[in-house]
Amino acid sequence: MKKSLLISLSAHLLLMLMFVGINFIFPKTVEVPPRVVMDVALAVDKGAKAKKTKVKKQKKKPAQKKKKEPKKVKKKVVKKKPKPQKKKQVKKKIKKPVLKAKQKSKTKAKKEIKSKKVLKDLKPKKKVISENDTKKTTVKKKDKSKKVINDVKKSPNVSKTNSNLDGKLTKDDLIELRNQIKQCWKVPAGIQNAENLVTKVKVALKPNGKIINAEIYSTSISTSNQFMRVMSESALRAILSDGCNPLKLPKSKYKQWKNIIITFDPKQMLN
Amino acid sequence: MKKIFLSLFLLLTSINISFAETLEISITEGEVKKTNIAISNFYMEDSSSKEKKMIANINAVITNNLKNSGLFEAIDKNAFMQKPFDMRFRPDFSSWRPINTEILITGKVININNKYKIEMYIWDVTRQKQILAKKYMISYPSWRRLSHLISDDIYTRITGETGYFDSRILFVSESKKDGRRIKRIAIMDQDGANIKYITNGKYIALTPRFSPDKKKIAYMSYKRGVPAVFLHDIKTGKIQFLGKFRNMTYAPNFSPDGSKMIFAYAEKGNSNIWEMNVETGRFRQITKNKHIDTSPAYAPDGESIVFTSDRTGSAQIHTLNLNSGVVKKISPGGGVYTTPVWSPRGDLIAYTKQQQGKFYIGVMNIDGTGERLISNSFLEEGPSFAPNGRSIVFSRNDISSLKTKLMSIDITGYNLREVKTPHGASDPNWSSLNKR
Repeated sequence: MKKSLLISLSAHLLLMLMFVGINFIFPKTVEVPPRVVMDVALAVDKGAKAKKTKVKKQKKKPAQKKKKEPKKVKKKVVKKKPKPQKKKQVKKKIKKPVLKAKQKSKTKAKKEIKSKKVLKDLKPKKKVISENDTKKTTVKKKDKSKKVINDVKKSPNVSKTNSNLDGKLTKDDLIELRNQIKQCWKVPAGIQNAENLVTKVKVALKPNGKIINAEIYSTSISTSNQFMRVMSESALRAILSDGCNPLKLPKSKYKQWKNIIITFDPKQMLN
Repeated sequence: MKKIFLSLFLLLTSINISFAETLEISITEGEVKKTNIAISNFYMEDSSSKEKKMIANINAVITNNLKNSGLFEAIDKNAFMQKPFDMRFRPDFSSWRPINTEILITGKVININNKYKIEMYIWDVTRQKQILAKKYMISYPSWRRLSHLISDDIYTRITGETGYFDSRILFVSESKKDGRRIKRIAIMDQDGANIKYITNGKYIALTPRFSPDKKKIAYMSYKRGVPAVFLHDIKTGKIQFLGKFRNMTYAPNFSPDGSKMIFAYAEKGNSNIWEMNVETGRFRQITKNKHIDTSPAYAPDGESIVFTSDRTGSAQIHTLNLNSGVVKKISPGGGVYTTPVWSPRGDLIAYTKQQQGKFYIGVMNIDGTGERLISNSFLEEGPSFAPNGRSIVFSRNDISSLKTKLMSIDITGYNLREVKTPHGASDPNWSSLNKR
């Protein structure tokens, strides 16, 4: 019994370590663009001005996709991988992005324009990645993304986490969010050592920005300290006030902001 | 067993995933605004007109206290959508949010054998929950004191600071009679109510200071010709003269435990600081030099004093450790610094500063850093801290009316307001809190 327990425990620990490890090894997987690459490729298959309806048709009749795909793409793929087995692989590759493309059919013209460039350079993977890479991503991230591409094939789970990619919040989104909350937060003035009273509030949000739940996630000192309690209450009031509930955030990026941890730190203000 | 492991596994992996998907942001700025508070009249079943008046008076005093603190914005009662009866059990928060209520005060009054049991409730409207419930028992004449106690409880719960409404202010009342200026020492509640005169104005009396238990006051008077410090028992009216000193004694102050009194003694053109044991009547010289040391005041721990000295050239603020005798100049210079007082919470020193023909009330950290001049005018001086260290009262000469009046200001520099007195007023000294 004990042995089996130990074996079971160690096996589970190993699994958990693997899960945790994935996050540590590829901490930016959410930012990695391979899916975008595929999405883009498909979008371009239908032409730079691909519309929702066309994408739907693709999904319903996958066999027709190839026919509708631009010749350039076909040729390139066929030239590269003439064997039928490899063709199948290519099909598979394309199928996944079709679904994703369906989700992403609302993507903006910018991405579509980018996708043209991507298609032109579809042959070498390196180029595809680098061209699709966002402005902020570094060379290191690009290297990681290569690995992730391989993993995507093997592990469907990872591809699921990657489905948030397109909804990445921009710097402007974050600035706007901060400004909203800033206006709702009434900082208790004149509190002794207020600069040391930091509160983290965990907020769960609905897609319309309304708060499902807001709770104190952590405080710099115990809330048995009356000043800490007042400061943390002010943070909660800020989040629940009419000015901040609902929060105005881009719906298309909901997955990115459905859970937020907000740190209320008055240090800078008081200094 | 398998199920346990499976659930544990799922839990841990879900935590891991949820962490990965949680957005984190920091808010480092906010607004410094008043808290919107709605103070409803307390509910009483079958109340008489006298009781209705008492309830209205309690409400008025609480509202006035909280408004005067500068930290609360009282919502106009005409905007209230619920009456006290509607809230005898629990308020309907949806009726209070439209009028921007953050905090709501409700209560109940029950007459029990001509005494009143009062229940007070504080509601956080934003979070839709009760955050304090408190009971009090009073007789009718104590309604004003009760109002101050309730104000203190509300203030403490919302700000985290100890309240200061159940306290008194000692000051010099300045009036005119037959063209003659009369200066009398007077006591009033911090909101200006219940004024009582301690001295009759026959002799000039200045710089009155409370003992911590508020049973005695010390002040400088010209009663014996030469200005001297007197100890005055408020209850018995007995006056004690510090007979040891032939020359001028002035600027008295009590230690935080009330066992000692500190003052300045002027002799042969210089002034030094002395300490007197109030119980034994013994004296101890604290400073001994050929300069002018004056305006001593204790730190809240009683271990140090702060005082003014011209030993560095001009009048500057110094601290002195009573155990080691180490003196340290703390004021940054650039003006004349006088009348320093130590905050009851120990973090700040308030003072009068004179620079380029203007007077300022300032605060700085106890090491002299972080100087902030929070008020200025043609002539103002003599700051004194509220018992919670949040507000300061001082006197200001109104150049237009030539009247001296009392002003109060928050240590943040906000909420400068006049403390109304029937006559001119100067030399204020804010008491500690009354005992509950």
